[in-house]
Amino acid sequence: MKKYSLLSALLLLSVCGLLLHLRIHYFMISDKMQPGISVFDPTRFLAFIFPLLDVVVVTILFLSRKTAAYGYLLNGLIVIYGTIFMTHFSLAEMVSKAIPLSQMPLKSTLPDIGIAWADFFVGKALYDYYLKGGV
Amino acid sequence: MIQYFLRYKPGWWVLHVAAVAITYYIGHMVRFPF
Repeated sequence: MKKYSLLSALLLLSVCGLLLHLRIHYFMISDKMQPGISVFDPTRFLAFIFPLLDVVVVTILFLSRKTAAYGYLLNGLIVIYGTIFMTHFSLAEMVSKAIPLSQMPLKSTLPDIGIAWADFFVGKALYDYYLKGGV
Repeated sequence: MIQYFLRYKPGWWVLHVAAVAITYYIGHMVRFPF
């Protein structure tokens, strides 16, 4: 039962991460030069494809004890990518919009990075559960 | 030297080289226009 609680938490965190990315910056953006026409943004597509991998592949890998190690690895990789890109995004925004450093804890993506690490630690708890003989 | 590479399975090396290559490529392509 512990396994399914952890799996549910992992799935919920990853699905909500995916939905947040889609809501905040969908990968098809309107072209300012041609109103009404949408163009593909590769950077935003990355912010869609990594959470999608987290929802589908990581969840499937964590379903079985045999593949849990790979799930843990991929989950960690995705969280590290997310941390680096969200930090880069915040720093670029801070510089271009001249946001004061004192406002950064609330205006940056720090809370979102915290959510990504919560996803990682739920994955770690599930991996530890499998390591201790859980089925 | 060869002993060091043989410490890990080929899959381990493939995975790590792929991860480094993908990270390098993504770092190169990401743009944040503000």
